[in-house]
Amino acid sequence: MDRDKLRDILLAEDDPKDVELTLTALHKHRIANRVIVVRDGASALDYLYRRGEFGNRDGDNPAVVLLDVKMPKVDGMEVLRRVKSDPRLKTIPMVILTSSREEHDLVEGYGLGANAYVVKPVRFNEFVEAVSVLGIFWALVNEPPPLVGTGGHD
Amino acid sequence: MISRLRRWKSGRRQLAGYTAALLLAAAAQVARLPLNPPTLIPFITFVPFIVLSAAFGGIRPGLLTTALCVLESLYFATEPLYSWGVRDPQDWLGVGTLLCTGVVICFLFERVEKGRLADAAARELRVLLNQTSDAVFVWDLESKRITFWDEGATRLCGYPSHEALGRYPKELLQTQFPESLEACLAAARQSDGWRGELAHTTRDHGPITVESRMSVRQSDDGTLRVIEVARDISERKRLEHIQAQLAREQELRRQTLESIVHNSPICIALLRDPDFTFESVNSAYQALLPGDLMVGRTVAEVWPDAAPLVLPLLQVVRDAQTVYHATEMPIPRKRSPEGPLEELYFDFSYVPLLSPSGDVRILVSAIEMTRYKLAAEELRKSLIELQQSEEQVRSLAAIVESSDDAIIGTTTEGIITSWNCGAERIYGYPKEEVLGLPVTILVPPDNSDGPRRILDRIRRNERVEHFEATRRCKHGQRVVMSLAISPVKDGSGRVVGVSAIGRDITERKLAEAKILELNEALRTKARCSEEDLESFSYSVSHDLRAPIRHIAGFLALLEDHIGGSLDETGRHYLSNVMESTRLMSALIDDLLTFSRTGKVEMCEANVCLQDLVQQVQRELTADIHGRKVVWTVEPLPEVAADPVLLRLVLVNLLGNAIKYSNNRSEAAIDIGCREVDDEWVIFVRDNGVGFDMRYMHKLFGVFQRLHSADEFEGTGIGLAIVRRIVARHGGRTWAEGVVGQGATFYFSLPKVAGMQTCAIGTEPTEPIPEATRG
Repeated sequence: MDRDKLRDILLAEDDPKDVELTLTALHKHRIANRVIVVRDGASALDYLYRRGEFGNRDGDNPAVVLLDVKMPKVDGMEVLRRVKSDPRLKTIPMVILTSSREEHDLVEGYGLGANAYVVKPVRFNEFVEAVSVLGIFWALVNEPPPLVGTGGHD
Repeated sequence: MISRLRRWKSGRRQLAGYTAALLLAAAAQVARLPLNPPTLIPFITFVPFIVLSAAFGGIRPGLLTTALCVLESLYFATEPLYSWGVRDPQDWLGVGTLLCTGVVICFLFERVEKGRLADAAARELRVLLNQTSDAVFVWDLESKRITFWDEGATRLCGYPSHEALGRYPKELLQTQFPESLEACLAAARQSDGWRGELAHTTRDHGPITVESRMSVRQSDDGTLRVIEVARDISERKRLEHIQAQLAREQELRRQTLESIVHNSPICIALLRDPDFTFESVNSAYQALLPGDLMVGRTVAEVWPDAAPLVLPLLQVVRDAQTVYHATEMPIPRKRSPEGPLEELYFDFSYVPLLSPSGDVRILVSAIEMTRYKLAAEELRKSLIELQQSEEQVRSLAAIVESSDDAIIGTTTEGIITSWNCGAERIYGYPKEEVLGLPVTILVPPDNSDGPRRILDRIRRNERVEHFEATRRCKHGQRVVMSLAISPVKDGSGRVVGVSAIGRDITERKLAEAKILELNEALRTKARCSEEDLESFSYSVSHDLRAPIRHIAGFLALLEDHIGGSLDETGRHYLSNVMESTRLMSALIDDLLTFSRTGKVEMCEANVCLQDLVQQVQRELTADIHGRKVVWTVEPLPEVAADPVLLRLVLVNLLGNAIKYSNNRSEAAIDIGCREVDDEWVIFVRDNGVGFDMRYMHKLFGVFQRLHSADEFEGTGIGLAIVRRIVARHGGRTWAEGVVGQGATFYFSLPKVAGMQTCAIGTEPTEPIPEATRG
């Protein structure tokens, strides 16, 4: 698989253990896409808008954004809202990783247009399965919509 | 008989006459015997006897005696003696003389006797005339003089006969003839005479009326006499006059009475036998049934509806001949043949009238009282109403007077006209001090305009809403009043005054302010608690789960990593840690559910319990793990509940039934529903391990378990969730069980929705026991 042709996966997760587990799971299923990890919503937005530390990044929008709800600074809901209200970004598939059904209800209630959500399972194997399915589906199977535009600051 | 007797009497007299004649003739012969020879003189002796015979017996016996004496003289006294022959022609002269003398004597006596009889008859006649009451007088037509005047005439006219005789009666009596005297006389000349009434004037007593008969007769001397017989009929005329007058009066009275009866507003009718037939009715009676002729018809025909009521009465009146009176008797009848049957009220009387022939007729007189009856009824009602309203007014007045509220009446200009005790108490002004003053004395200076605006609105008949206002009391302190101002209207709806009802709410306002303050504080507190709870739930769901997840995740990785090199004990430890991690995660999930069931808004709907049970059965199939479970689900109703929460109840109860019956090779689970009063009671029965009823109270508590975790997995929260959900629906939960024989869990749901939409804190059942962890 040509790694250059694969678009990045953006993982926004503040908990390093969850990051590790997620990466392990993706790795286990041999997801070859580069995974960009940011620790909060603000960095995620920086990445998407190519600013701050990501001011000089190249490449397209990520293939999928895996977004934790509860993060410092800017939380996952805010990131989702900003992305879905921006015509340049709203085609990016957004997957919400939630810790509980409670959060799941919350996300649905907001109606912000998440493309999928995953309740992080307690049983690791299930978790691996869930993350892998998501990763493969969005990163590999699903044809991304044509690009509307890249770069720029909001 | 009398005539025969009379005839016999006269016959006897005649016989006596004739006998006397014979005897006298014989006596004459005897008397002549000494005178012999017979001469003329002896003939003379016969004459006295002839006279005697004529005087005694009348003309015929006289003539008989004469004849006998002639024969005697021819036979005995003329030569030849004792023979009928006569020798001497002179004797013929003597016999002839005797005969002539006898005949003359007889006729003379006859004449004298006749005159005597006529005189006697005239005397008798006069007596007779005098004895009659009639006046009889005779006057000469030519000389016009009265020739006869009897005592009756004297009595009648007052003139004695010596004054009347010789006078012209027309002048004497100033007679008024119906036509003329001549006409009367002309009629009087006829055989029947004239008969008629005349008016005379009497000597002393003025005019009289007489019934007169007048006839003209020719008297013996050839003069024409007018015989007038008059009878005083003045009295009769007077009586006739009176009688006529009486008759006229009677007729007038009869007509008056008839007119009264006919035109009377009282209905009058006369009934006669048979069958009480109407003989006559007056117009008022006829008007009871206009256009329907009553006379000649019977009561039963005319009043078919009322007949059963009145006929018995009529019979009693007829048979007992008593008068019957009725007052305001309801009589069923129709006003017209097609009209509805209605009850009319009549005052009426039946009076029996007995006719001379013995028939009884009944006089009916009736007045329809329906209008008066109804009016009286109305009047009575309105009197009662009046009484009631008076009582009401009195009691209202008493209420007003004793009310704790200030009730003030004012004119439309705001001048106080009434002031109750409440007003006195609240505002401090005694009644006598405040009457006649303007209501503005109660208004603080900073709002002196308020009452004027309100009065303006009241006068314009606008509605004034209940409002609150500050008022000033007598001594200057202020009170907050809740005021209701309303117009007082007279009968025609004109606003004539204003009533103001005020309640002192100063204290209430203070209390309200305090309550508001407290409420605000509580609300803040509650908001804080709610927020705390939410952040707690959030922490639990997110922060508490993350480490668990990490433990589980890394344990899995560790197992991958070193699993192969671990010995039996190591793998056991690792397995224990993983199991505990899972339990911890389940506990967290259940606790979250429990807290959410008390918090979420309930959404009521009609839920088909049957369908819901089937869904849950399918859902729980995995938990059966291939065991044999016999489900018995009775027909279940549709209930009013929140479908999501009710499903949670069933998941827990059915799940428990499956779980706690896993000791049976064949588990039997029954689900059913009973209708008890206004509730549905739903039960879930299993034949599992059951429970000890002594611990029933612990069943529905949080973290309460009757079985060890070794025997049955579980968090001890499921039944607590069930109880909380059922309670929020307004129902109850309970259970029955026998150790080793199974358990039955019941919950009830009200048929009409009794759901509480409130949040935590309204738990109606026993408090959840302190969570015990072990």
